[in-house]
Amino acid sequence: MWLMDRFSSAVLLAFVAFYTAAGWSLDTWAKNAPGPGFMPRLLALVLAVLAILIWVQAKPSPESHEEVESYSKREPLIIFLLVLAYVFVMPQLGFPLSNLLLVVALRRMVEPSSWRADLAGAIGAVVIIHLVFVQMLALQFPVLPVWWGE
Amino acid sequence: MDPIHGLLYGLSRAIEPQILILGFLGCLWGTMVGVLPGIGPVAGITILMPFTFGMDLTPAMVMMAGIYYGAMYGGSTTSILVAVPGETSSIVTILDGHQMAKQGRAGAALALSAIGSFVAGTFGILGLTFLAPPLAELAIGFGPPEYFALALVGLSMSSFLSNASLAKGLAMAVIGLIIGTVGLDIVSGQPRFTFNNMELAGGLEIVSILIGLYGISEVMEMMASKIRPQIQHEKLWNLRRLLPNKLEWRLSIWPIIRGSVMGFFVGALPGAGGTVPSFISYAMEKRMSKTPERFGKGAPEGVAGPESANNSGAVGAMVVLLTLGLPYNVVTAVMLSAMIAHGIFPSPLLMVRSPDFFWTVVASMYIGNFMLLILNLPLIGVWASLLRLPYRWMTVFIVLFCIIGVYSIEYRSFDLLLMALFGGIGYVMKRVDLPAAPLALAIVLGPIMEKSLTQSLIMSDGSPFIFVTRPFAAASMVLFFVLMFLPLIQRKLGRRIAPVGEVEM
Repeated sequence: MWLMDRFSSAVLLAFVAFYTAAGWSLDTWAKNAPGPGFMPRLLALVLAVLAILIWVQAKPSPESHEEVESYSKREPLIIFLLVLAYVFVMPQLGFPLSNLLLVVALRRMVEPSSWRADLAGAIGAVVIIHLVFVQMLALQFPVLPVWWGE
Repeated sequence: MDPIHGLLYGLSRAIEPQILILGFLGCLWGTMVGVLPGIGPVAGITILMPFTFGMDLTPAMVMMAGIYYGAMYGGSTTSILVAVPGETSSIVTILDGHQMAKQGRAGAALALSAIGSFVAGTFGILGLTFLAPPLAELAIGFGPPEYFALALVGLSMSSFLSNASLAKGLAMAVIGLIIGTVGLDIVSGQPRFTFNNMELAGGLEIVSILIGLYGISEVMEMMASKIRPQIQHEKLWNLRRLLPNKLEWRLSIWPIIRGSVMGFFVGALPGAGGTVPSFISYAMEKRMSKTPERFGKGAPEGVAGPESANNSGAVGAMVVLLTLGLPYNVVTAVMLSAMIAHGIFPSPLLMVRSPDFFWTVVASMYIGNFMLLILNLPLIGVWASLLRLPYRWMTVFIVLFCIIGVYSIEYRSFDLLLMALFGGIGYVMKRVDLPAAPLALAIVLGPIMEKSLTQSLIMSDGSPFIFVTRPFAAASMVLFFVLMFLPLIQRKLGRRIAPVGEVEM
């Protein structure tokens, strides 16, 4: 875990540098009150101290063997990328179609069964979601793709 | 309005069909998220929260409270049946609950857990009914320095109690506060960290971040971990004999009473919620027992005490939210952000300004507690069968609910992007052992803290001594510094206080 801690500490320090630079032009103090830059500077300072503390506290212990847990990297990455892709696809394709693609993709890439079962299940899920949220609860989702009817 | 009249008025509102139905749905959903491993009350509330924006605040809050204590009830089911905790406050129930199940006493363990939860929940709500008004009266005298100091203690306690080191917990809390600085400055109105982006001018949408952190990242975690609840023994599912025997009753009555009382008061402390009381209760019961060697081998006290404590602890946390307007754990932080989204800023004056809201929520808790007893005893088999649901279908629906929930807030793709990014960040945080709770709490507390800090410094002409010249603020600051230096003191003394999850078993 100590390597992870050092990595976290380095990321936090890099973030402090970015945050400080981004808020450089903000005033720290205005008349007798804290300015818009007061809190950000205070927080950046505290975070820098904590990041250094995490770095210092991270020490490899010779006796302990780091526990290797059986975690898969593939599935979480797929889920993350699919949700990210959905963000850009949904405004273009509309809610039902992008939901269908997302559900099929999730089912195919995470513990898949047969194509037919996955597709049927996905269509069922999308229909239920559409009926409940768009028809019954009247949520204003883009139903049709943007190019539809042009 | 005195508590009795308030409660009677609240009951007359709480039995209105809309509130009753939403309360029931909250209990139902809460029990479900409690039963299903991986999704806790935070994810359960955050996923549904955007849908409550179209409702009045009172039924919305009744539903969210139902989810919270429903999850406390449901969390024990998986702990007892398959040794996988439904949520963190049920971790300790595994030790004896699953052992009881292995000995064919699953029904008795579940019944003790449900009855203990009911007794404790009722005790907690009684505490809320009669202690909230005097506490609110006391808090009316609080000004910005007291609020800042209390929020600071809440954040540091949450970092202190997280399983990671104090430095990591605090670093995450600071990141949460930093997130709160994005948008327009509350005093000058000057944009901060918006990078000329209109989407950022209003600040980062808290609900999107929380759903990312607790919804999407939980799904990623569920899929990353190859462990799935397995039915190991048919005996575990023998739920026919639901009533505990005489000996089990005798052994459980006092742990239920002790757990209920202790849980309520500990739950009201910063960062405690339902989890800390459950661990304390287990350690306390083991220490008080004449036969501590039975613990871990199926002792009914090891189920009854912690399950009671976590329920009354959950209500204890609500006391602070409803009287001071300060969330001391992540679930109440989520509830606070929902209240703010509805235009209500809880404060000591909540009972005076919105008695309808306050007393209806409290009265609905009594009704909800009865609903949960019925849901969790005769229908326990139905909840247990939820564990047979295929994980991949659960994944699909949770992801879809998260997306729908976030998009329906303001119909902006930007919020979905935020959710996806914080989903990824939340997952990485889990992998590198950085706690999410202080971050989530700080995101909600951030604006309150900055506002009260600024107001305090304006009041004192910029002097920080305002925090030490007012008694309550000074006492809170002392507590804050004690917490900060406790690891150092412990190291000097060669001892350490075990964080949650490491209490002596």
